Amino acid sequence: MSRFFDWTPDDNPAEILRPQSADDWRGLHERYAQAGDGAPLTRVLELAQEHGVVAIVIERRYIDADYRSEHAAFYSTTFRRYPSVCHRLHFFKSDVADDLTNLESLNDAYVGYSVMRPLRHAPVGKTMMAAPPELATGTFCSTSETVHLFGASLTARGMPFISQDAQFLRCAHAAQWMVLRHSSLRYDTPKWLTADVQAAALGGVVVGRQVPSEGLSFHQMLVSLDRLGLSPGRLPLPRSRADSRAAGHLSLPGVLCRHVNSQFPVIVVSDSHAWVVVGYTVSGTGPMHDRITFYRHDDAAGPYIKVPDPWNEPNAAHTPWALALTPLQRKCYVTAERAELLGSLWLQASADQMKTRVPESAALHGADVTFRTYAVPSWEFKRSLARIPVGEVAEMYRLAHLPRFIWVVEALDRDALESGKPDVVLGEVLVDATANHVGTHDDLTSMIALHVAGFAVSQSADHERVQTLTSPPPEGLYPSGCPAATA
Amino acid sequence: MTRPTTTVVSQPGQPAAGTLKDAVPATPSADDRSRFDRDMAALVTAEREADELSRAIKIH
Repeated sequence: MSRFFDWTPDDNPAEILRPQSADDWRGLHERYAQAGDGAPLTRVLELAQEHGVVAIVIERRYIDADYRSEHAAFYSTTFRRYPSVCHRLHFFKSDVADDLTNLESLNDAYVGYSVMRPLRHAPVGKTMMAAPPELATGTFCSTSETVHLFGASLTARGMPFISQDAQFLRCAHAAQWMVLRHSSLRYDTPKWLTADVQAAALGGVVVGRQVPSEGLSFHQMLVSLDRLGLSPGRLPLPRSRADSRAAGHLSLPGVLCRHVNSQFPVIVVSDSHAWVVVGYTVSGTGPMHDRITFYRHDDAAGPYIKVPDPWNEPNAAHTPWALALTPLQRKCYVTAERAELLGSLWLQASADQMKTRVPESAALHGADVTFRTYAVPSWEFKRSLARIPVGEVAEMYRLAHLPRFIWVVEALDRDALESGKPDVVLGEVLVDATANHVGTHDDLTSMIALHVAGFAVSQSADHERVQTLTSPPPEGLYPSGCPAATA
Repeated sequence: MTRPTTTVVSQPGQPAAGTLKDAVPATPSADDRSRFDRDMAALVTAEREADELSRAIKIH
């Protein structure tokens, strides 16, 4: 398979594989990866098995725009010839017909695809596969893509993944590409190819040869993400569990979860490696630091890799989790941390006051309040208003003029949250994501609205008209509007 | 010419006197305001620290 002419040996449109044994899966791995390499492919095939895949359709002449861009920029310049076409593996949980006539009916059984580059040292190209079943109850970044396959339209859902080739692309490029492709699919931002990412990162604080790439500086990542339409922030991550517990709103789970909650996958870097935190699960009882499990897309290891303990990594490349690069959408001028500080300050005071006014039957009465922060497109927030049991408040939000993105700080009932109930929300604050002047505790110009226990207040942007409404406090809690939790 | 009939839709709620700060149920306590100031200062410090840390990092 490694030779140029073996890559597309005939004109057959596709192959169908029905792996049944470990040897079958191993054979598929050996077909594309050379011995000793291929951890991402191992994980892709493992993920397929976790989903119960029984059939794989291989498109053998797939023109992958990302790989084609790499080919044009690099692989076409080498003395040895590399094919410019890829294979694309489509994974199904139900069997496909030998003549491929039933593909359209298999949409529910479609797990996703993985592009195989004709590079035996780094075969896994663009990949879009569903999150593992164990993440189904977790919080994770996800988007969807329509896939056209022999006349059928299928939907792939998940978080985009790609591996580096260790020549043209490094982990820093791959991590950025994953974030940018997710952004493109979810937020309609431009679709950048791998070669675009490579080109955008050139120059600046150079730390080695650029082509073939010896790696990037953190500053190059900041610049390239900005050039490609995002607005990355950066924060240091606590180096130990004890430091994290003491860090308050800057704890490692705090920083990462605010962004995953927002469907903003976070790039984490150590001294030498970069990966993307794409989700988390919380289980058991006790301190959050002991209950949370993260999942990452690691271009060198594969998609959806479970990370039980960020401060006790078996691989030195992942030590320490030094910095979080938070790729905010362009118009999220306010950072998650600033939004949470302001929103929680005023929401806590309002909740404490309202507790003294509501009857014992109200959900707020006796509640232990904690907070969750996320950004969400305002149209998406408005689309989910049916979950709010106070009709007047939902109506106030529906008719409010809102920026494209808002930060939402939710007041949650801690007991309901820790017991895993779907209804956990007591109230919320809406913060204008474009108001980047949050700095003092008494500056509320960025706050659009506040609601807790049936009392709500809003202010308009242009005329600064302030309106209040008072409704009977709801007896029950209501579901979160967190976009990642409902992905 | 007959002008079309228009309906102006407004947000529900009663106009409140003063600002948003005047209309919220309560003002944060002095302790909470002090904590906000400390947390905000820590955030600014952390962002500066990130800039320092990032200079030594080569990602490959």
